Amino acid sequence: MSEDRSTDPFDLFRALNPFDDEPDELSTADEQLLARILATPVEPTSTEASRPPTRRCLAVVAGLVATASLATAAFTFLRSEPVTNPTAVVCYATADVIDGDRVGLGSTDDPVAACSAEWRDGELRTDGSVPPLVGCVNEAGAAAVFPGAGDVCERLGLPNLEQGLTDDQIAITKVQDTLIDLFLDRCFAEDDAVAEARRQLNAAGLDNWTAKPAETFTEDLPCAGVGVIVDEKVVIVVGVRPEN
Amino acid sequence: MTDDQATREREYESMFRANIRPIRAFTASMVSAAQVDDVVAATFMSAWQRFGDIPSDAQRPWLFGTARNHIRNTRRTDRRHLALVDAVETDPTWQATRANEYDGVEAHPVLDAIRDLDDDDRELMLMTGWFEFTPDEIASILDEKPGTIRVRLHRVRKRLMDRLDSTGDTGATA
Repeated sequence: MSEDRSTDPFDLFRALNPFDDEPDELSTADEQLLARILATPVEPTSTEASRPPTRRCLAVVAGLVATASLATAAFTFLRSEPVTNPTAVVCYATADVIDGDRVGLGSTDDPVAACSAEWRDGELRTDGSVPPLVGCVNEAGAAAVFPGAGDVCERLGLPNLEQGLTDDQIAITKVQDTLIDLFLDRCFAEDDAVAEARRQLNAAGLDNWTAKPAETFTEDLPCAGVGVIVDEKVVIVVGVRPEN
Repeated sequence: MTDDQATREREYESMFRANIRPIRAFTASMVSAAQVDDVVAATFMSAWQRFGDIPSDAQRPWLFGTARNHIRNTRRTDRRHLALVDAVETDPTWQATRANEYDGVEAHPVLDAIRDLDDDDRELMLMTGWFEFTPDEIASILDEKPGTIRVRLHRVRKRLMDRLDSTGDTGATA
């Protein structure tokens, strides 16, 4: 190669590698993650959970799981937490946060019921049957719903979902849903979209929330989309591609 | 605790400490900030459950492959949720957090050029540049042929060189 080493993009990038001197110390969050993982029992390897059972088998299994769930609940301390991020729900096809298929949903005040509907619609299992479902809270603070027994959250190292949202959480999820519907229905220009978002926030009584433009509208991204930044209490209006 | 359990925990912890930062950085480059913790936790939880199956001489490629699977799953959303994700992914706040794999790294034109690559090419650059995977290792992670990876690397290099040439700013010091 005759390229000047100092101008080769790969060399330039490698020279900026921040991982040459990896510190031994972990962040507090990563120390906590490590401790949580090490405290999680190792499950025996099984392919049962990922193989869709037949409808007949499912009825039997569902009954057994329900019984086992009740028995386990009597003897297991289950940590429960409310969601901190009410704007999304994830429905998992198996009790496996890594390999399980999943469907992401927008906000809902009843994540288990919403995921149950996804199962019935065949989004997670083609025969449309619905297994026992358990709500947990994932690492992002959002609701995650898994099929399985009552201890499924504990086995995954997650807190159980404490059903119910605060009034403000319900209000912002409704505003989010309304704006998504409006913005999917027709193409809002940036100013109109911000005004609409402010109107919806006011109507919902969310006085401590703000709506801001992200100034990302372009010729290719001429229509409004909505983002909710829960921690900052901000509804942000951004440019997205038109629907068809 | 049995000796086997203690050994497993010790070896797992060693793997965790050696790989958490690269996996976190890689994940941050591929998903929104709100999803990073979820993907990282799931990746290492999976590694804990399957620790016995992870080749001791290929732990990092295994972790990257697993993280990629989880990232792919995270992106599988219904149309309604996509409307929201699309919006968030175009949000400059999200873009800023998405770039946090560069935390602590001096600003450099090559970083801007790499940030502008599409997801597949940026992933390739991170793997080869910062995580020091060989083309063969990348091929195993991405389930591609090594020859395909070499061709892709060649093309990315050319694209980056063209971009840096066109701006006339390589950031290179004399």
